[in-house]
Amino acid sequence: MFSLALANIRMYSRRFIAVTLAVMIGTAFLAATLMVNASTTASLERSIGEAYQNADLVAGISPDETDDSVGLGPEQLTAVRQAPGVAAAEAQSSAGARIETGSGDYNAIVQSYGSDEQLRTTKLDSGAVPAGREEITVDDQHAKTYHLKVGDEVGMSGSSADGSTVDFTARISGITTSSNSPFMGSNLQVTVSPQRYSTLIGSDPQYQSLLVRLDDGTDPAEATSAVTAALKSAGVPQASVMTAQERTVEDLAGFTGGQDQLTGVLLVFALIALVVTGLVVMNTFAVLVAQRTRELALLRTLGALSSQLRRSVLVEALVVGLVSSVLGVLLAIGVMAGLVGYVSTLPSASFAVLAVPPGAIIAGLLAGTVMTLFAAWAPARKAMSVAPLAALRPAENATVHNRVGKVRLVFGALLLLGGGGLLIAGAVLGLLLVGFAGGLFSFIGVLMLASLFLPGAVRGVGRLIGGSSVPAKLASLNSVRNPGRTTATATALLIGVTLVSMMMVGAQTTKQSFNDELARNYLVDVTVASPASYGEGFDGGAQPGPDAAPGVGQLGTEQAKLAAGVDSIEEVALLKPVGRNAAGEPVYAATAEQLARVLKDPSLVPGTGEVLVGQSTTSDDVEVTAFEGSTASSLATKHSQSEISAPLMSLETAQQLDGYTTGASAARAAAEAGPDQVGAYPLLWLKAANGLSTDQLQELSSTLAAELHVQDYQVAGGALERSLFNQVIDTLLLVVSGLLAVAVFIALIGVANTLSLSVLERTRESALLRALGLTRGQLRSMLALEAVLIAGVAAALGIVLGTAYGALGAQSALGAFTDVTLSLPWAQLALVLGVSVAAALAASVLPSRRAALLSPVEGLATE
Amino acid sequence: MTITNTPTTTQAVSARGLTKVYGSGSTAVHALAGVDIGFTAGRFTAIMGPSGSGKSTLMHCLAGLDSATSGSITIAGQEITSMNDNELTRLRREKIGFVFQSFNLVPTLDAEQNILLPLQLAGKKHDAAWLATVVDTLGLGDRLGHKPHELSGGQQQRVAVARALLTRPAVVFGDEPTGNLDSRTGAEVLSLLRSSVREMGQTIIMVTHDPAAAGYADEVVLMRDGELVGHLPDPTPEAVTSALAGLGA
Ligand SMILES: Nc1ncnc2c1ncn2[C@@H]1O[C@H](COP(=O)(O)OP(=O)(O)OP(=O)(O)O)[C@@H](O)[C@H]1O
Ligand SMILES: [Mg+2]
Repeated sequence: MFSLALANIRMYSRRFIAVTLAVMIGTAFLAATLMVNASTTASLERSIGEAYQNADLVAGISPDETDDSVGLGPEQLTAVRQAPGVAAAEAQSSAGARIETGSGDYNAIVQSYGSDEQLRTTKLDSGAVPAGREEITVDDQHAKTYHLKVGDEVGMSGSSADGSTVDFTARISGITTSSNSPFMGSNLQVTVSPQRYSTLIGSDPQYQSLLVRLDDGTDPAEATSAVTAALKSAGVPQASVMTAQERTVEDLAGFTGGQDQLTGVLLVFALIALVVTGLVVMNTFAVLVAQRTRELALLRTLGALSSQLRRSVLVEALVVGLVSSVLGVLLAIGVMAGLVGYVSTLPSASFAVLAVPPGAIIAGLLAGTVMTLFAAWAPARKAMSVAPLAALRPAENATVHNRVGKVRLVFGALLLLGGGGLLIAGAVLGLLLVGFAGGLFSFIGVLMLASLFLPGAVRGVGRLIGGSSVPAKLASLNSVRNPGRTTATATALLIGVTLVSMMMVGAQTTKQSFNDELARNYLVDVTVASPASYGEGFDGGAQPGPDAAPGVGQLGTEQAKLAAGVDSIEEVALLKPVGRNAAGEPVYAATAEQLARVLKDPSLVPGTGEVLVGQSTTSDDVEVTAFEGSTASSLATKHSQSEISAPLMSLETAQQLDGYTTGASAARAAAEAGPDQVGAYPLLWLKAANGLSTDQLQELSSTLAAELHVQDYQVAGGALERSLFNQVIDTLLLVVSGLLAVAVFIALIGVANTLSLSVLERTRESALLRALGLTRGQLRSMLALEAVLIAGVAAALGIVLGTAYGALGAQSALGAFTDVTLSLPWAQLALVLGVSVAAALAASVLPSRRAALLSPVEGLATE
Repeated sequence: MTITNTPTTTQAVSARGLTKVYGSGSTAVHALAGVDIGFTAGRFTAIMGPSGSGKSTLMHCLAGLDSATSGSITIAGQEITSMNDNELTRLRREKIGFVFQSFNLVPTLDAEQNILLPLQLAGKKHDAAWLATVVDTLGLGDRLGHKPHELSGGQQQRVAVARALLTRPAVVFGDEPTGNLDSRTGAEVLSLLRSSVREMGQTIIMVTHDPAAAGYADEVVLMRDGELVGHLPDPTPEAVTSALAGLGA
């Protein structure tokens, strides 16, 4: 039987191309996912290890040490240097400093330029070692970015742990190779002479660890205990002394975790791709077995046992699975090598290395092979049940009805109903986990019931379009000729499309809901807060005052003018604090005219004698006292839906408050809050042009910050938050869709596969049709339409399902926090449908070309 | 050796210097080695000969299903060897009917749809009265809604005959149309074919191995090694048998 299986594979090798491709991609996805993890770890290890590269031992304080006063200092360093077997020891230590280059102010990590050449972790590229107190080196990458060269002078300042500060002009004596250590972050890497370093680190320096070089021929184990003993005698009872390699591994543990989560997420997508691959495999083998019924029956009449037939099919699956998995793993290695190769050309990631763990290879091979075997199990059983008589009956498969297993039906229905119930409950109650479980179960139920509705749906749509012409009619009949085949093909696509559309609808709904929430909360597009309210100087920090000159404290009319001059800013209102309500919160005022122009909802402008309050205030009136007034005025409230907006009135109302003034003393009173009050500072409310993109809004924000001399975070507002949030969601959606696209792609290979196998099976029929007058073009369009019909219906149903899941899922995820507004990304969904249909069209090109090129005579001659 | 029918009457199909070579060089097979033949309209001709003599090849070339290596073929006054695939296809659906030995029907279509298929492909309306006549004559009235697999072999062949006759083609080709049928059902189908010639003036060219089947024809053309080697007007099964014996078949 083994030889028969091999003969089959050889004979029908073309029929295995698509399934091999599908398994290959699925396996590659899985293997690559595991390699991502390993490569990230290896790259980190490489970059961390750099710090210890030349050390034989690394000594540090054990993490078990609870006494804070125990540390590594000069005393311990000397002790280690004197330990037997130790050739040299250096402190690993760094200090923070700021470097001023004239064009900017940068954070730097400063290390001492080590005296032991071999233990030194910095490598001099050009120039000289920093000598004396006034020389430093900088790393080449930052030197390039900041245009620094040997001989340049920069300002360097820092303060040490003991409070002493350093501030001097340093001369760059040399350029060092940039370190890739993740501990360095994006800081400028500076080395200084030991003398200078001691002024930076202070009188009582604490080292991170000690790097130790041993005498040649010293046993590391002996040296380890010697160093441990030396440290113990120097007041470090619990030292951790280990080899550089061991230390690297330990440091690494602190960095991982994040990427394990990433691996977990990627694995989910790899799993989806594998499930879809399984469907394609199952379908392929089912078709192959069906096509071989006569041959199998002949073997049975000749005396083959039914179990032998099954084994033969399974051996075929095994060979196909193994070969495709090997190819898949190779593909993964290739893709990852390319990716890592590309990443390592980026300056910030030059340490990236490819790691191919045996686990990834084994997991890939196992998953691919086992999945293929598993998927071929049912078709193999079918081969087993071929009766010897089938050889004698005419091969007629037009009415092969796929009987749905009763158990599967019942189970599927239960899952669908139960899961659907849970999903709706999750949505109503806003419980994400309940909704998630419900969605998962009900979707599995839907897939189990797919044979009930998919062929029917294809038939129905086929009827609609089939009446018009003979090729269309034939296509619609052919598309449901083998309901089982149609179901499996369409299901594979349905999975991917459902998940993609679910993500799209979910993302769009989330955006819409969030945008609505922002629109409620933020009464204007952009707000700028006074820097003083953050306790930071406004270019000097003079006395605050609402009408102070620019650059001397708070926002005022000058800044309002500056803001109005910024591109894309259409309207500006300056909100001044004018008093406090009974709770001590500042109450703001601006002219009604200005408010009417900046408020997104102009009907919210408070009338004379009115105060606009947020959602939290429910009362019909509020008491407001001017900063220098003594009597509180009771004013009517006007309610907005905002949860964050401060009380606001028109300037006309404010002028009627008792004690209202605009003088500096009032401003001071506003800023200098009472014991249980917060300081109140003016705000700018801006209206931005409509339809700005995320990038434009970001740019607008930084332009405003620069123009008004405020920090970036002081510029806020609905428009900005919306665009940032939308960008995050869009990026996530793009990534997720990209990952799901693998599954969709595999499913489309399945469409092409089913079609080409069917075309092979129907060679005689196509030849007959050609003889009877079907033109080549009509034959081609018939097959194209068949593919489009199956893929189109699967995609359309997937979009409908995905929309339902996306809407209910968003409701479960967000229902607890905000009102969810369903919003459908029509363009994206149409794109999904369009891509599926276009891909199905493309998938039909090869099979239909082959069918059309076959001459009727040749076709009629085939058995 | 050249054999032609009486060239005076109109010819539905004719071929001149027809050759068909499979392969090339030393392995070349001359399936047709220069055939000149004409088939008079309104007659029933049987082509006979030993296996491998080129009968099917001749029929395929004449019907425009396969291209000849050289020579010319005229069907209903049109020269077909210079036609492209689409023109040939159109010619087939309008001017030619086919009855094959087996697998004559499209399995997804019922009997009536199968019968109407060539007309629908041509985008033409069928003549309802003619359809009724054909279906009646062939005794298919109560079988029109059945799918091929629900029909017996004889019924399937009759559906194929109905389909071939419905377009009133210039010629109907049959390649062993009764090869898969028992002798009684075969006889029924053959009588139908003959009556369509007698009563409707249909032209039929049939390849067969069966002398009894050839007995239904007006004339038998004999082939050997890709050449025409004789013809029997008004054949009887006995005459055909002895003629074939003479060819060594
Ligand atoms: N596609 C082909 N390639 C090569 N040779 C072919 C091909 N088709 C037919 N032949 C050869 O051409 C010759 C004529 O074949 P053809 O099928 O016309 O014979 P036939 O008279 O119909 O035989 P039968 O009575 O067995 O059907 C044979 O020798 C055959 O081997
Ligand atoms: Mg033949």
